[in-house]
Amino acid sequence: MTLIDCRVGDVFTISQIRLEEALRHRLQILGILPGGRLQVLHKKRCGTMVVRTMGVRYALGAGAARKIVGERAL
Amino acid sequence: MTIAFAGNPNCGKTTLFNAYTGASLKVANWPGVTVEKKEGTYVFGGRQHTLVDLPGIYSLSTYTLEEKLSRQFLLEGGTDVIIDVADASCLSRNLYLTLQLIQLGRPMVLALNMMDILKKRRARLNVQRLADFLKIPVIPISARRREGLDTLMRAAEKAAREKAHPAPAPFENMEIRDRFAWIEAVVAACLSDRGPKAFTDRLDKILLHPLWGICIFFVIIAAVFLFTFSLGNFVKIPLEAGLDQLCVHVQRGLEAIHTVPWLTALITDGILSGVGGILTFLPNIVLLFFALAFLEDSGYMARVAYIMDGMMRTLGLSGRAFIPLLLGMGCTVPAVLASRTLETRHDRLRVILVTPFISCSARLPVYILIAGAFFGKFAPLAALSMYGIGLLAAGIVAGCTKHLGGKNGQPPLLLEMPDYKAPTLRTMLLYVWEKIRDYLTRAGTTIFLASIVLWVLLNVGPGGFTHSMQDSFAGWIGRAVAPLLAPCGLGLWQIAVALIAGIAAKEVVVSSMAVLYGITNIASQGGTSALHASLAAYGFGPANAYALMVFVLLYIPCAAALATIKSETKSRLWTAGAAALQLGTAWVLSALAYHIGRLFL
Repeated sequence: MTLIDCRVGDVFTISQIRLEEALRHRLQILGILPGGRLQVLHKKRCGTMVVRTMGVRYALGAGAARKIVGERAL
Repeated sequence: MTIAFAGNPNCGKTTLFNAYTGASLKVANWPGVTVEKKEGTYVFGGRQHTLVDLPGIYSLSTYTLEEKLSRQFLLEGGTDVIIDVADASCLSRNLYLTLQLIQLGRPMVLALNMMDILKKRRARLNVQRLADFLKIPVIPISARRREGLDTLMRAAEKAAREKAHPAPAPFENMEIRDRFAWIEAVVAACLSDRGPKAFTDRLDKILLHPLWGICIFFVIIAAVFLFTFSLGNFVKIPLEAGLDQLCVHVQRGLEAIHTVPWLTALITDGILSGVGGILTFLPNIVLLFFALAFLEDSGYMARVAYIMDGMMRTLGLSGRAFIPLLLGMGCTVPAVLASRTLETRHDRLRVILVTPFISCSARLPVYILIAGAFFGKFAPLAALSMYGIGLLAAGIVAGCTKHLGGKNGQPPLLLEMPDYKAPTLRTMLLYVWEKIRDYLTRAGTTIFLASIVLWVLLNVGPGGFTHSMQDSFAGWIGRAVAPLLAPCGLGLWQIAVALIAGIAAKEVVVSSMAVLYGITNIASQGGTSALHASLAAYGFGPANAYALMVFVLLYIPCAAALATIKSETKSRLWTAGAAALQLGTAWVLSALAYHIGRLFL
C-alpha cells in the first residue's frame, strides 16, 4: 500500500520512497525515510495530507503520498 | 569577527539577529520568511562583530533558490564562527543540519532556541549531556524573550578565538537513516517528556477540516478587510479634520507673507492635496498590516498552503505558491521575493507573473475613495470584491500559463507546519512599523514628487502657464490616451492622467485625483462628495467607478514591483511581458465590468 491509502489517525511505516532523487533526498533529511513512521493527522479529498514524524508536522501533497510505499503499523 | 546564523527554516535566526543588531527584519511563524542574506553589526564588550542572517536550510544539500545562498556562504568559509540555531521544541529534525555543520570543521556553537516553549511543555533538556554527545558548546536561549544572548555571544567569541574545530564525531560516515537513528538516541538520552502539542492539534482539527477549513479561510480574509475598512474609516476622521485645519492654516500663512499665487497653489492644491490625501488613509493601512501580521505570526500562513493545495494544483501550482499570493495582499514586492521558496524556476516565474494581480495595500486607498464616493453603504462590499477579482484573475492567468515553457511536472506540496503561537506584540509592531515607514517614505518621495510634477503638468502647456487644465501638457496626454480607455467606461482625460501617474505608485491615483479636481481633503466626507459631483458631471456613474477600481487592481504594477520582477526574473522581456499582460487583462476585465455593470447599476 502507499501512504495515500491511509486514513486519518493511521500510523504508517515507510518501506520505500519512489520519488525522483531530489525530492526523495529532501524527504529523507526531514526524517521521512524508509524505516521511519508517519502519523496521518489530516487528509483532504484530493489526497493532500498532514503527517507527523519526529514530533514535526508536514503538509504533504498527494503526488508524494502516492509514491511512499509501506504498511499500516499495528 | 564574522558570525553566521545558520539553521532550519523557522527556528528563530532572524529573531536572534534582530535581538543582537537592533534591526527590524521581518519575522513570522512560517518556514521561508527570510529569502536573502542580511548583515548587521553588534558590539559586545567593546568588540564589533559582523552578524550574518542566512535563509533557513534543512541540510547542506539544497532544494530551493534561497537555500543555495546559505549553502554557498557556509561552504565558502567567509565566517569566523557559525552559530547553529536549532529549535529546541523539535530537536531531532534540527540536529540533522547540526551534524552536517559539525562536519564542516569550522568553529561553531549550537544555540538551542525556543527553550521557553520547551519549559511550557514541561520538558527537560540536559544541555550538558547534549554538548558531550555533539562535542561542541551548546547554549540554551530564547531569542523572543532575549534570554541567554550574552552567554551565547561569549561562547561564539571563545570558539572563534580558540579556533575550536569540532572533534571527529561517531556519525561522520553514517548514512541518513543511521544518522537519524543516532540523533533519536541522543535526543532520547537528553530530552525527557516530549509531550504532545495538544493545542495545535486541537486547533488544526477545526482550521484544517476538509470542508470547514476553506470556508474559515475565506471568512478570515473577508473579516480582515471588513475590519480594515470599517474601523479604519472610523479612526481616520480626526486625521481628516487635522488635514483640513492644516490646509486652512498653511493657505492663510502663505497669503499673510504675500507668497506668489502660483506657489500657494502648488503647496496647497499640489503638495497638501496630493500627499495629505494619501496620509489620511494611514489608519486603514495600519489595520490591514496588523491583521496580516497576526495571521503570519500565529502559524496560520503555512496552513493556508495546505488548505489551498487542491485548488492550486488545478492551476498547475503547489499549495505553497499560495503563500506569495497571500503576502501580495500586503505588498507585491516581498510577495515576488517570496517566490524564491518555490522549488522550480518554472513555478517561480508563473507565481511572479500572477502575484501582481493580487490587490496590494497601495490599491486600498483607491478602493476606499472610489467605493466610498459611488457605492454608499455597499462600499466595503464593492472594495472587498476587488480581492475576489484579483484572485480570480490570478487564477485565470495561472491556469492559462500552466503549460508555458513546456514543463508540466509540478513538485508536490512539502511544507513544515509550525506550532501555533500567540503573536507577540513586539513582532507585530515591528512588522507594522516597517510598513508604515514604507508608506510614509513613499508619501514623502514618490507621491510628493508625483504631486508636484502633476501639478506642473496641469498648469503648464505649450503656451506657458495656463489656467485651463485642458490646455496643459497633462490635458494633452490625457486626451490622447482617453479614447483607448473609453470602452472601459474610463474615457475622461483626468482619469487617464491619474492612471498614468499611478504607475509610479498606486496611491498616486488618489493624490492625482485630488490635484486634478482641486479637492484638498479628498478622503474626507466632503472630499468624497466633491469627487462624486465632479465625476458625475461627466456622466461617470457606479458602473464607471467599478470599472475604474478593476482597472487599478489589474493594470501595470507599480515601479517598485516592476523593478523587483526584473531583478528576480533577470529578464527585461519577461518584465515587459508581465506588464503588457496586466495591462491587457485590466483593459478586458474592466471593459467587461463596465458593460455588465451598466445592466445592473
